[in-house]
Amino acid sequence: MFTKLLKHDFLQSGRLFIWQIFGCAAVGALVTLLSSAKNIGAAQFGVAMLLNLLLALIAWAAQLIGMIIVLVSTNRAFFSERGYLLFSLPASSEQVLLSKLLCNMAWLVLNSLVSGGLLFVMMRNFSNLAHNISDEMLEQLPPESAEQFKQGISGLIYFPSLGAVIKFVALMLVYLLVVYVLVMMAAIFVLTVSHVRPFANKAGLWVFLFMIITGVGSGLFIGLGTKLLPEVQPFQLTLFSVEGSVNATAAPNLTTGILMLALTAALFCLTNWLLKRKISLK
Amino acid sequence: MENQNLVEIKGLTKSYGAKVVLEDISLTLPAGKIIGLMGPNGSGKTSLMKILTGMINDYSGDVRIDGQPVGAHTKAIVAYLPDKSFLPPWMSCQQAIGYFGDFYANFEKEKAFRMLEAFQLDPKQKVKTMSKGMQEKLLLLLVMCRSAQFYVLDEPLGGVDPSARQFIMDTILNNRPQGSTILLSTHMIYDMERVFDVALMIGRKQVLLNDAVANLEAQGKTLDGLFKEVFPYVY
Repeated sequence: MFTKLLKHDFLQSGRLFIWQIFGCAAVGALVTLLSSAKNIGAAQFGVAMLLNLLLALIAWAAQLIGMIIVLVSTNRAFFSERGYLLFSLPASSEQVLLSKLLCNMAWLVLNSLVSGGLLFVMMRNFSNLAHNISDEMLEQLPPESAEQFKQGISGLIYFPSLGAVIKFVALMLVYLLVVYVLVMMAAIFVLTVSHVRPFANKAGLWVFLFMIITGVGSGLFIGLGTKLLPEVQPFQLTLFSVEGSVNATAAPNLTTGILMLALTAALFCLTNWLLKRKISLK
Repeated sequence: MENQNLVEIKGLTKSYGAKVVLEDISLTLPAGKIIGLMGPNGSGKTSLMKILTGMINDYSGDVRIDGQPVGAHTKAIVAYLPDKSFLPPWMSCQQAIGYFGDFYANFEKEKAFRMLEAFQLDPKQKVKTMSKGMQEKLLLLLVMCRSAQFYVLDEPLGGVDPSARQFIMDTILNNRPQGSTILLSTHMIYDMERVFDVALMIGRKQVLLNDAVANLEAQGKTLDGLFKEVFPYVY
């Protein structure tokens, strides 16, 4: 039953995510193509820079849209008329909840990897642009500034070794999984509470609750980030730069991760109890 | 284990905030019968059905189906037709059949496709492009293609014309497995009188009648007349 739930949840969310992921990949490929011209002049350079900065915007927008998609689809699947379909199934509430949680997480992590990929592509394009810039354009700058400019842009991406890259990506995956499982669970918990009497129709109360949970979650998130990648501020582009790749070799501290997972487990149990005992579909 | 009574309810109370809908009711529903659930609007018919199908969980009391509390086991043997469309708009008829076939071991896919043809529904048509009547047909088909022990049908005859009513009743009665139980709520008491084996009337937070129709007939009473007698304030 659980695998069937997972399959259908994954396919249902995939209907929306697949377009977003393909869209991001296509935009990334197109901008890379446009940035790969040799001997570019000032105008072409300016356009290419703007297009690449747009990639960063798209990457963050994709993250936000991904979060909105999973929250809206979870709310609909659980608490709208569609809840009659889901909760009529011969499955326990634990199975329904876990399936939705895992499926949401899988799509969010995939979405994040694509967004991260877009940022990586952006910086790679910056680096290529610095190499492909025409001599005529560089001659217009003072020699020292031209050299600093080229070094500054081309130094955006630097990984000391393939091993460090793999370790960095693996750490980021674990990091994303732990963060998303807590954020998703907190969101589903708050959605559930918002449909339980006496909290139902009292928006202020559950928004307050969400703020407390996300506040605690964010504190833990930043704590974990600091432990894993001590010199890197989470969510900054420097994650992909020299410091990030060097810090990827730092030994992870699991304490904060375990705390976050414990909080997630507690929220899971509480949400499951609410679904079993307190929820009435309209 | 076979139970003579399929449903056993003890001390069930359900309220919406301060408004109590069902108060400390106890009843049993026999297996293998067609039970008509009747009562005025707001009497708790839909709430009772939702409790039996696990859609309402915030109640007090003990509710058992086939000797089990409402949960994954009872949902496997209960086929529920709510009074609203619950399929996602992007789903097509064949996707809905695939979904039910995947989750319910007692769902007959081949029969569903046969019925789809008989109902003149296009397998590829999506729910969002269907009329209300077409959606109701599809939902009825999905529910009646399950070989369930217990069918809970919430006002399947509500808001349809007399010929559609006959079509719906024929679909229910012709596709019902032998020995299965049907709990059907309706306001069409006069039309349904000949179909029901048991009459269950609820109102004023209580069970007001739970008796075999044959017993009532032996007393020279009709369901329609009895309903007007039990709920005089409605008229």
